[in-house]
Amino acid sequence: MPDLASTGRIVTFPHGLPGFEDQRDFIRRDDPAFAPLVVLESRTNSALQFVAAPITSIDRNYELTVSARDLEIIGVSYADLQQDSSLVDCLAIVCIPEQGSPTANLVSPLVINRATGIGVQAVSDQTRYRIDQPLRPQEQSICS
Amino acid sequence: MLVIRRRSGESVFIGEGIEIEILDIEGSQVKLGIRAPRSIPILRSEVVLTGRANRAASRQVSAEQLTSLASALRKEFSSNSSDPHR
Repeated sequence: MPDLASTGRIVTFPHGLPGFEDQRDFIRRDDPAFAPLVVLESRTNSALQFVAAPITSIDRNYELTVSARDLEIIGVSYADLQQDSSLVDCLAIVCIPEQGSPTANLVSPLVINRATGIGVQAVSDQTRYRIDQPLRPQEQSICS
Repeated sequence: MLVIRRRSGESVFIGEGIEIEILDIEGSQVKLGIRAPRSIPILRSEVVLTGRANRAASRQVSAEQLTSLASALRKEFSSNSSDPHR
């Protein structure tokens, strides 16, 4: 990972992330060198980092499905969100494998309250999107 | 995979300590009640799959891979004025 000198915003996942339930606090790193991607670096373990992309940079017409419980966790009401979708940051975790094409998880986006930095990974049961959406359509991944 | 048909109110046991009961069937949705020791985690499969995807995604990536993908996304984004899905 590059040495990221830019100061970052804190993102807190009160319930951690599936697979990383004890990881709550992350620093979000933005840098023109890798925009639109962002890096989420664990505050307790700097070796743990996730690459993520604003979901609209992958699918302009993405329709977010988020449960009442998840909205409660991040402190945003459904009504407010309907009125103003910019209240939340919606990021898809990106998987960059050693070999093969990079993919993004569009089924379980990170949904972050922009004002407070409190976030949740909204695991939905809808089948419209893929957990491994290829990011470079011209290179079909082997498993698609 | 063992396949069993159950009606509302009926249940299955898995081993001695786990019981799954069909509590209600409403349209396409089934309400399940699960009795199991606390030590056994019970998770929606989407959550388990998300956990696996997160673990796969958490591997260290190089600066080159990061900037290369970012550059490709920027190109993709600017060249695609409508639907990014092909």
